[in-house]
Amino acid sequence: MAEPVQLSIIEAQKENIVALPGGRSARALAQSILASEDTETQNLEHAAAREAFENELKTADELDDPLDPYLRYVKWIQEVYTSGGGRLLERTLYRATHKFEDSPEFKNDARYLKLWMTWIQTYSDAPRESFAFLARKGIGAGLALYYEEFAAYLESQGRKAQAEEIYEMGIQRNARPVERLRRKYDEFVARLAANPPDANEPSSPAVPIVRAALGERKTDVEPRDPQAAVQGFGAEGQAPPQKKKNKMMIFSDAPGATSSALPEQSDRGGGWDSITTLADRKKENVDAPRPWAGEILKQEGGPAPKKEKLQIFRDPAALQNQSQPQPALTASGKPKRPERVFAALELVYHYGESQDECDFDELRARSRGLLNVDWNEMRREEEKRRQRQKQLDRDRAKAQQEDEIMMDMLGSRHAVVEKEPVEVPDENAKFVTKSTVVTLALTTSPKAKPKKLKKSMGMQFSTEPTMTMHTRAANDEIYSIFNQPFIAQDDFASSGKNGESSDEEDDEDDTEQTNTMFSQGGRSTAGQENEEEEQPDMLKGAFTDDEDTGFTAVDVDMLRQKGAAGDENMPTDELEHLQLGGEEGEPDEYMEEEPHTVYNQRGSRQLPFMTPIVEQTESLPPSTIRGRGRRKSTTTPCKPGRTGSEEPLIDFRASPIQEVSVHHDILPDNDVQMGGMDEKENMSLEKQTRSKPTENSLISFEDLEPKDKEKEIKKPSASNALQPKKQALTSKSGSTGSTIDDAQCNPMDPILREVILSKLSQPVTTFKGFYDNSSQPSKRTDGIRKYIRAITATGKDAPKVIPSQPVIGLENGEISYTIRKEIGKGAFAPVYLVENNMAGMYDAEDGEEEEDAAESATIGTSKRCELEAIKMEIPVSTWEFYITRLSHQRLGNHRATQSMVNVHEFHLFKDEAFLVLDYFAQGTLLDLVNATASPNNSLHTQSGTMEEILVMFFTVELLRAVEALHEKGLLHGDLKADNCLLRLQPVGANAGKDGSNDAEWSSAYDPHGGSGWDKKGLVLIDFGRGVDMRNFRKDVGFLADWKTDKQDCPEMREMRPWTYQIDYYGVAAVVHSMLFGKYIETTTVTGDNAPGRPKKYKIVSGMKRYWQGDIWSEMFDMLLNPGMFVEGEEGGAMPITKGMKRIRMKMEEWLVANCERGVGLKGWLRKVEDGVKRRK
Amino acid sequence: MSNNFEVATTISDAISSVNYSPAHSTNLLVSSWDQTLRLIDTHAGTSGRELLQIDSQAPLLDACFVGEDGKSAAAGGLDQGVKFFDLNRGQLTSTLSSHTSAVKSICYNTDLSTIISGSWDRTIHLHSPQSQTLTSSHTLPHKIFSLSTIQTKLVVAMASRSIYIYDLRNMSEPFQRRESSLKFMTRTVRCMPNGEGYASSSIEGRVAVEFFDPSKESQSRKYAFKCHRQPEDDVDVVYPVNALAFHPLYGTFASGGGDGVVALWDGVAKRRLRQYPKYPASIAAMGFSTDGKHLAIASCNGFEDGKETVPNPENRLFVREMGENEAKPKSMG
Repeated sequence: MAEPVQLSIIEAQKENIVALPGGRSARALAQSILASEDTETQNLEHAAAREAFENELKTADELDDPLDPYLRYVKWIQEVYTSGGGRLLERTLYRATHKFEDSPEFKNDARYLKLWMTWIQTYSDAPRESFAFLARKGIGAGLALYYEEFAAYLESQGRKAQAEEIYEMGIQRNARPVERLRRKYDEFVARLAANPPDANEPSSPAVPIVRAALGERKTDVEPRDPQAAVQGFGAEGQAPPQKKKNKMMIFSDAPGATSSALPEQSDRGGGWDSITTLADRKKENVDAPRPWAGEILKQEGGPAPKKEKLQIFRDPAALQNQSQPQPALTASGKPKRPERVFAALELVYHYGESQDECDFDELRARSRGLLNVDWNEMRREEEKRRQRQKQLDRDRAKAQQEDEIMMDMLGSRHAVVEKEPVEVPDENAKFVTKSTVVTLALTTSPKAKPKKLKKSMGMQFSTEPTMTMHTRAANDEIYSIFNQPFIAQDDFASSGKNGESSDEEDDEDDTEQTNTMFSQGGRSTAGQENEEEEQPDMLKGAFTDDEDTGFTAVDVDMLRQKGAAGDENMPTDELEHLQLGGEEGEPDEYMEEEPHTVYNQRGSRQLPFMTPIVEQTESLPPSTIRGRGRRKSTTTPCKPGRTGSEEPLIDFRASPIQEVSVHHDILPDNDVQMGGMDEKENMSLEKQTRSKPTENSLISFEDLEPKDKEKEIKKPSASNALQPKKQALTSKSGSTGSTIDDAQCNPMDPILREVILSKLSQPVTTFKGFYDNSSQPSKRTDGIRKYIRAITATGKDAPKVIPSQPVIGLENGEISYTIRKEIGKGAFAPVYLVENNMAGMYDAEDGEEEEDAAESATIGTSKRCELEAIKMEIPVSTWEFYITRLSHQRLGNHRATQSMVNVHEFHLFKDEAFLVLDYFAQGTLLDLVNATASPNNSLHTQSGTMEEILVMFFTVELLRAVEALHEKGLLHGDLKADNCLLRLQPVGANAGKDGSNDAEWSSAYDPHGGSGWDKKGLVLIDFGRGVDMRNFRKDVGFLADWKTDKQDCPEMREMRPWTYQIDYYGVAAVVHSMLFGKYIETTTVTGDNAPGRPKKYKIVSGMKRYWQGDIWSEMFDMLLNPGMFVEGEEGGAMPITKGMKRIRMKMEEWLVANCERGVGLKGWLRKVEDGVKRRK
Repeated sequence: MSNNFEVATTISDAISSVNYSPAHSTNLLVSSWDQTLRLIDTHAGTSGRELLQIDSQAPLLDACFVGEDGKSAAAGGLDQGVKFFDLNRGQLTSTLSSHTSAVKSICYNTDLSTIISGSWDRTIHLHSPQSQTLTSSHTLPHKIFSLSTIQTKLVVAMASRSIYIYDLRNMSEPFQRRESSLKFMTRTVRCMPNGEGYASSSIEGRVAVEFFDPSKESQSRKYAFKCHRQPEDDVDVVYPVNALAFHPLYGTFASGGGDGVVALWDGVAKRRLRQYPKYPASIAAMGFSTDGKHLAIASCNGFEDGKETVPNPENRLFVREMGENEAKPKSMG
């Protein structure tokens, strides 16, 4: 026989063996376990066996015992699949049981019932209902097994009463073997007695009593079970129709959708025809499949739920006091839209001769050609035209009868008035008519003159100003003298639409005074006056012409004499001319021939005797000399002179003097034109004139002038009430006022700085980014020092544990920085690279546009970066913050602003101060110079010095920055190669941070910063020794109290006072170190050391022959000897901004011309970018 | 909602200023580049009527009413003179003073009865309207771009972003010297009606609100904001803010930009109250009526981009009627 089964095999697998009710064959078990170890063959075998069974099942119906193959199949599955047959067994059992459920021959077949029992026990999800189903079908009704199993199940469910009922039913039906059933029942009763049934247990019959459903309309008397009623409810349309609203959706099978398991359901009208799985019976919970067409597929959760994209973990401690609600990263993620300024900035910031930008009105005026128009000139021209016309008219008039004229003049008073309105609209015609009258009056009737004079007196100012000037300058002056009301309108009504009203008034005046006119030329009176006054004016014109180029009392005097002489002749002369002109009839020709036009033509036609004088006194603008007082009496300057003279000739003669006094009126306006530099002189001179407003004064002027000039500047006298005020103003103008009045001082003196800071109009503590905690100590230094020491220490000094990176939390944690490393030691303070833990929040604020009007003021809150630099200042000083911020404020959006380091915040404590600055990772110029010199570096060149073109480029950047600073009155004070950081930023929006993809950066150098060139340059740092020159008087000289060395300018070393020299020397030193790779050394130029002459310096090193020696030596010459180049600069003093600009332009030109040769400037800069990147 | 209507005018060139009369809430003083000063009753008939038209000999850059009766005015322009006008008689009364460059801005201080003019020649002149004379002249470091005065304060906005604040009672020295907190050229400055501070605008679409009080608390209240930006393709075009006008009663203010947009702001709550639909051209000037019921808006070529067609075709004047609570700050309900 077979060998005994190795139980150990089974033992090892027994947790995988499913118990069968009838037990298992150990042999079969062992076999299948052994087989299962060889999975592959086993699988094959099983597949083959299964197929055999399946085939057998297909033909099972033809067998005598169709149940047999199922039984064997099930048995096989149970044996082979020791760990349970799973789906296979379930499916097979299901097929077997349900195939024969309606076959009467198997109803009492024990084998069939056993299949049912197996299925119910193993797979049925509702055993009680399955038993009820069997009862309904009558399966096993005659077999004790059914009752036993059912009762046992009910008993196990705690339904003992029902179990008892089942037993009783079985015994009653005599189910075989009834003996066993009885015995089981007895055992049950015994158990029941020991453990009586709970009172709560269900008492309903175990097998549901079938009754007719309520509302059942079918005549079918066959009792129906509740299940059938439920199932068929909706389908049969038995839902109560009167109910308008279904309280509950009643599920019904779709008509015709009969379950295959219940083929004859409707016929039989009852439930229990089939028992399927519970899932099938809960089908009302499952959506019936529908065609997709027209279906709306609801998206899960609707439109993308708004969630925070990423929850950033933040240390709760750091967050504690932070009021900012938004997470940092989401805010910074907001891309800033590029912006384009609509305004034509290049026009606005086109600094012409003036230092100020132009607003749109000025631009418009300029584009229309109205800006530099001298309105006086225009009037003058108009006047000229009028004059010509007059002359023409005169001629015409001459042709008329003189008597007639007289008659008309006397009688046309009313006509004049009437004419008025008609003339108004036609501007040019106006003058024509006017002039005709005038000429007539003049030429023909001497009698009219006195009348006119009277009238002019009566009219006061309105008549006074009338004058015909022919030279531009003369007119400027004179017109402004007659600033009084009406002047413009009256005399110079010509320039387009002018005040008709005033004309009107004139006319009214005329008429009142019974001034008789031509009926035709009613408005002539004004013109007449003009005519009258023209003569003095002409004289004046001559003077003023000179004045334009510079004019002194001498001139006046001389001219006066000349003029007086001329005056006498004038009337007749002119008349002759006029007559002549009339014959010719050509105004243009007149112009050439008329004596006064000679004066008009500036320069070429000037009277010879004037020119030498002019040149002599060029430096002293006359207009201002003539004084500025008399403003208050502007209305009546000429009155006395006029009133005094009845006779026009006398009037003329007297006029020069009169005019001088008249000129005083003008001046306040003119002196501005002359430029502020002369203002003091002007004022002093003015005083002179005022004190002696007569002829004498003019003469004395001549004598005093040079002395006065100097004297007066020094001690302004208070003779004029207006004067001191103005003096004060002028000295202050253009600056914030000289806070420090010392002629010599040390600008770095802390006390002096304190004074300056205390006198600021806007206290530095109110600057954006200034955090004043000066009352409390910070005590953060030690921690930071310790950390820095720890990470830098090497060898045995190195601590075993590197302390964590110190975090500087400021303002109650609102601002915090993590120290990364030390990047430099300034002269006074260490600089650390820090991580700005708050970076990004600033952008968010900025990004809120119109929605929220609140935005921090723009200066001082430019974009923040993750990496920034913190400069620690011990002892504390606000100065560097102030000057750095000042440089940004003063420069505004000047291009050079990018070359000034930006200071974001300043935290002031009692013991230390933190300055938060932009961080530039590319290192300093000194690093670059050193890298170039060190043989191992990629930037190393053969010569060991930087390429000339690179040096030139950086020099231009440096010069531009320094120029801009000086222009705004700021000194850096500490220029050296290690205070210049490289600023080689990526160009264009899509350029990589590392400078790749920089196609937008043109290889052609653009000195204006176009094509990406503005992204490349330098940044000046360390303004700790900066000086604001506006705090000092103009002639200040600084003295350094520190020990000087070769890096300090010669003035310092020789204890001479200095100002801007410190920066010029600084620039020279930086350029020198770039060019030669070593520190600057200077020497005095030999042979040029004559005593009393200023020393001249030059650099010691010699240029390479292929360098641009001219440019370089010119630059060094200028930077080392700035005092020799002040000529041509504003005020003839430092800063020598213009000179520097000239040099810079030369360099730029050279760069433009040579930037694409060989490697090219861009190529070299790329190399530098790569080099400094690698160095990091 | 507010009602907007256009005032029919004969203005033939760019408008430089609009100011409502202190006495008649519908009389508007308009100065323009067509060399004319006009007095317009904006509410006469359906689209206003020109009451007065006074010609000058050069383009006018600014004008203001003088006195409280709305009967006289001062104006200045390219011809460098400060002119005094009698509006009753409709004529020029006198030239108060002459600058040596164009008069850019002119304003009248009620408290001290002073006409102040500022010019590109870097001076400001103070005049007395009673005697019609120049009372003092002050030289400043830069071209004057805009003046505004309230109570005893005078704010002078200059080139190089310089801003001086004077106390008109003591003109010998500026009360404060400031740098504009905006990075670009100052375009306009206007004082708050309550006299606490001023708003200034720049050519780069920003407005700054600052306070006179030099104390730290007050200074920390200052702020600036962006406005008048229009998206164009993928770029935001930033327009100059040409005009500012404070509401006389509520202290809210309107800003007018080169983009032709007028926006109403609540400076206290730092919120925009309203933004009105675009006007046909750049906003050149604006002015609230003294009762605050309407806002005059001048829309014309602003020459911001350095371009214009001569003569400018579109020089239009609009009046926006303010609804009951339209210009009220939120805090006032």
